[in-house]
This record gives sequence, C-alpha cells and structure tokens, in this order.
Amino acid sequence: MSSDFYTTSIDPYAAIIIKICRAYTHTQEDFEDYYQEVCLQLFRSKENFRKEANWATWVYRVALNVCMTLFKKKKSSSKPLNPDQLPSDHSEHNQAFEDEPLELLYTAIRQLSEVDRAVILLYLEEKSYQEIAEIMGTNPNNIGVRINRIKERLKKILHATVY
Amino acid sequence: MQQSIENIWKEGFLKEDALIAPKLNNLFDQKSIHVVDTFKRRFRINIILVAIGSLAIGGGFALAGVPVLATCMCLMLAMIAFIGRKELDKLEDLELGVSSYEYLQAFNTWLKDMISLFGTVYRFWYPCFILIFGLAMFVANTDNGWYDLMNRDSLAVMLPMGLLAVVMSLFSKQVFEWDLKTIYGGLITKLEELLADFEELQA
Repeated sequence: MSSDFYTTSIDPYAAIIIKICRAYTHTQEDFEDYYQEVCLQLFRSKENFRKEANWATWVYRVALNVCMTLFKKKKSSSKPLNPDQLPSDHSEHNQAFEDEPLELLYTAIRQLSEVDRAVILLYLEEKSYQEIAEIMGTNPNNIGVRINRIKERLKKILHATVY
Repeated sequence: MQQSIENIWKEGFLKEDALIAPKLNNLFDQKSIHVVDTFKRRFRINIILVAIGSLAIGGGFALAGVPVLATCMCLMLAMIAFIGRKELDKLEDLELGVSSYEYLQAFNTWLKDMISLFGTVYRFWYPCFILIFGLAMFVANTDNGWYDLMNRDSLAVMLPMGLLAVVMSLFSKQVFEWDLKTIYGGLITKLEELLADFEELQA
C-alpha cells in the first residue's frame, strides 16, 4: 500500500474505520486485525471505486462489509464457551476508551446484531436515512423505525448495565 | 444514565486518544505466513501421496508378474518423493524472523528454484517412466511376457509410447507447471498479489 494512498484516502477516514472496527471487536488484537484488513481491502478495492461516487460512502461500505464478514467468520469458527469464560467488556484489558460512558455505549452496541450495529453507527455518525440506506443497500423507508427500535434496545441495555 | 446516546457518542470522541489508529507495519505478516503454511501443508500431502503411490504401483505390477519393472517404477516415484522431501526441508529452513516481504521473496525464490529443479528432473523422468510403464503394461498383459515383447510385433504398442515419451521430455517443464497450477494455482496467485502489493508499497 503506497504511503500516498494512505495519506490521501485512508488517513482522513481513519476515525470512521476505528469507530466501526471497535463495534465489531472485543479485544485490541482483534481491533488491530480488523482495522488492517479494512485498510487492505480499501487499497485493493480502489480500482473498483467509481469516481462519481463518494469516497466516504465507499469507506463506510467497505469497512462495514469487512467487519461483518470477519465477525461472522470469527463467530462461526469459535467454539462455544461456557459463561465463565466469556470475555468481559468491562475488563481493564479490553477497555478501548478512557471515557466510561462511551465504553459502556460500545459494550451495548456489541450486544446488537451485525446489521443493527451498522445502522446505529451510521445514525450516530449523523448520516441521513437516505445515506444509511445507500450505504447498507436497503430501503430508506424502514430505517427510521429500525433506528428507534435499536435506540430503545440500547437504552435498556445501558440502563441495565448502570443500575 | 442521563445523557442521550447521541451525546455520549459525540462527547466520547472529543478526547484526543479515543481515535488512535493502529500502525499498519505488520499488515501482511499473517497473510504471508498463511500462504506459505498452506503451501507447505499441500506440498507435504503431495509427497506422502507420491510415496504411497510408489508402493501401490510397485506392489500392483509386482503382483501382475513384472517385479523388475515394478521395482523400477517404485524407485522412480520414491526418488520424486525423496527430492520433494529435500525441497520441503529447505522450505522449512526459511527464516521467519525477517520482514514479510523478505519472507515472501525467499519463498518465491524457493518456488522458482523448485520448479526449475523438477523441470530438469522431469525431462528425464517422464520419458523413462512412460516407457517403463508401457513395457510393464505390455508384458503383464501378454501370455508370454518378455518373450512376446522380443518375438512379436510390439512396435504398434511401443511406438506411441516412445512418441509420448519424447513429447513429455520436450514439454516437461510446461507439464510440471500445469501440474503445479492445478494443485497450488490459488496459492500462487495469492503469492503474486501479495508481492505486487508489497512492491507498490516499496515504490
């Protein structure tokens, strides 16, 4: 990957990629793997990118597709653990953000399905319903209802975590 | 929880260290090791299959009444397995401590050397094996074995075998490369893509 490509096409969107990768990973090691894979796939897919499209939209799409694919792969390849072995998102080792509310929000987001995680991330990034639908390849009519449902679920999870 | 999720999101990312991107310096490490490991595994299986094949063909033709030719075929296949084993040892010796690019380049050099070595070996091996196999089939399937070969008109059988042997000798390297592509094609393509990525990175 040339440093030019990284500087012009990835660096300005690193925050987006980090936010998405964090939502699909539990450990720093996984996060770094996902981040690297997204960057690699962006580099590889640059030939397929149509100039008339928006690069930011492309980054969102690639990042979400890569993360969801890796997440599925990891889920299907991992053996079922007993509840005592489940990694705790609250453990110091896995703590990604010093900001506690943000860390709690991420913990709640990680309890959603892959698609719901994508939808809420895009919503939190202040994407319009039209943009979310465009990135996700869905109908914009259902996005609003879905977001409300996800927000309700997140509130419940956060409430249960805090109290 | 007083804050809305929108506020948590916005305020959480205001802190400077919340969005530190990991370094990409080890980007290809796992992929490089994965490609080489998969190749090693398939190569090892291939050698084992050749070794088993040498015993099966040797045993089969020995039972069919041509023990000398059976031994020759068995030894020829065993020789391929032995050379393969020696090449695999060289592959095992590749230094893992170097960078991914150097590791893949070393693997690529090994692959080219291996193709060149087997290309040369097969130039003689293919025709010899075809002729011995043809002889074994002829002798095993006639009533009087070697006597029929010497005293009957065996040209109709042996001439096509001879021609095939010459053709295989001439195109031994191409046949071996085609064989490699059939077994390791996807891996070789991945290796080429990874090396191309690295070379672009170095540019």
